[in-house]
Amino acid sequence: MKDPIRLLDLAGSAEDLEREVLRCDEAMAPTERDAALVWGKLAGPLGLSSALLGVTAADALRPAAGAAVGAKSVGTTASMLAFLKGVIVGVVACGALWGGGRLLEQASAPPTVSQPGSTAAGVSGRSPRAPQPPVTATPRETPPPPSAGSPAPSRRAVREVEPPANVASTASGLSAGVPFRSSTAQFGEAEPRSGALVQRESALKEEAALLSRARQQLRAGHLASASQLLEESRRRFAAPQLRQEYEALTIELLFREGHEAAAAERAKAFLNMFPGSPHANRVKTFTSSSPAP
Amino acid sequence: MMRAVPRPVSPELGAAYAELYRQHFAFVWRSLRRLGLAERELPDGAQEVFLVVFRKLPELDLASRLTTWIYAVSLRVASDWRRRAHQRHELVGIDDEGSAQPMVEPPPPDGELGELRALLRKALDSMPLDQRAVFVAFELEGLSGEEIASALKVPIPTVHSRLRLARGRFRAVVARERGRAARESGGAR
Repeated sequence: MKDPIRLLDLAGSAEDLEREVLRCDEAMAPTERDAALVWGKLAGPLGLSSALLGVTAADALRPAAGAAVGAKSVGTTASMLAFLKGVIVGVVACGALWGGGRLLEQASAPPTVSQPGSTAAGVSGRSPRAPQPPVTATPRETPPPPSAGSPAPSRRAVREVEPPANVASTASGLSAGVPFRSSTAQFGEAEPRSGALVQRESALKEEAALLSRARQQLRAGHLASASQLLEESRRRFAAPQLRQEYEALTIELLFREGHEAAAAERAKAFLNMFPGSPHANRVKTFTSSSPAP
Repeated sequence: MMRAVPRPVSPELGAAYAELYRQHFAFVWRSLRRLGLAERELPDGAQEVFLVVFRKLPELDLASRLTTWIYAVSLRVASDWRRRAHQRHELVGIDDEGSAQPMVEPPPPDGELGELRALLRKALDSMPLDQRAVFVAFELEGLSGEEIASALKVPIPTVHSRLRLARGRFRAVVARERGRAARESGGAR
């Protein structure tokens, strides 16, 4: 029985807003801190020891080639699965894998990774009226949310051992190609959050509020007001965290002011830099001189 | 009471677990969030999923696709969380069709991207979990109808039927938002 066509694959049938909504979640990858946190919670119940793992955090968190979710890496998965089952059976045959045994002597620390790569911190000295130079930063511009308030690890699922006290003792960060978002917080950073992180979050809120006002003015047709707000955003946030949104609004403003050629040029540059951006569909409408929908 | 503790695992097994974790952590995280767990619940939810995964691996049929099976585990964990949240009165109520509405409003989103994500969340929250599970798996994770049927242990026509209903809810929520935005902006230039 044939599957229906996916909404994102429908050519022209799915509404633009539907596509934007479906794609907006794509950049919400977990951070390396999230991964390390959960790994640390697993280590105790599963009897994992950092010394026995034999992998670095970079190895553990970097995706294997072609192993993206949804990729048909059946061969790799099947062989790994077979290996896992073989190893498990062997260990069980030698005497309990879980239950019984001696106390762990060594805390199990999650694997370490190298220092975080840069986020898309934006380009300083941006101009609202000129195309941005190409950057190599990742399209993931938004910082990770506060670590979920970092509540104390739940004990519900940990039936056997307490998570070792020094489980989170190793600094970690992102290396290039890791699927997790960069985190400004080093793994193992003690709570409460650092002042730098709090400042960054505060700046993000301010930037978001300013861009939100600019967007409202723009959509209401108050172009001068929208222009002033975008200029204020450019001045106040030289290293913007919401760079893609700023850029998308600037392109739209250019278009609505009648500078269609400039808007089209800048839109093309945007799509080259951020092909997977949730703003891509809207920006795409400004790549020609035809009226935007 | 003395709690039993596990023996350290072998290096080979530990490395294999790390590999499996590496390949599927982001998928589990995304799935749990899309199936309804709040951000603050994701670490515990992911821990539950991987505990189950690691412990049930010996029972897994080698013919099964690992991702499909892990999705099924994630769905069960998400379902359990919803039930417990309801019992803790964190949900206003579940309507006749099983849709859940949160009691506490999430914090205001940051920027247009945040608004889009809030809208996605709203659309997903409007679906009963069985429809939501199919919609998330098919539209967002790219699993096939056959894979979803295997994960949920339902016939493929049932998958298609739930998908159709879920799409209807999704489009209705987005259309309402589009109408609201048009009214607020006045459509003026």
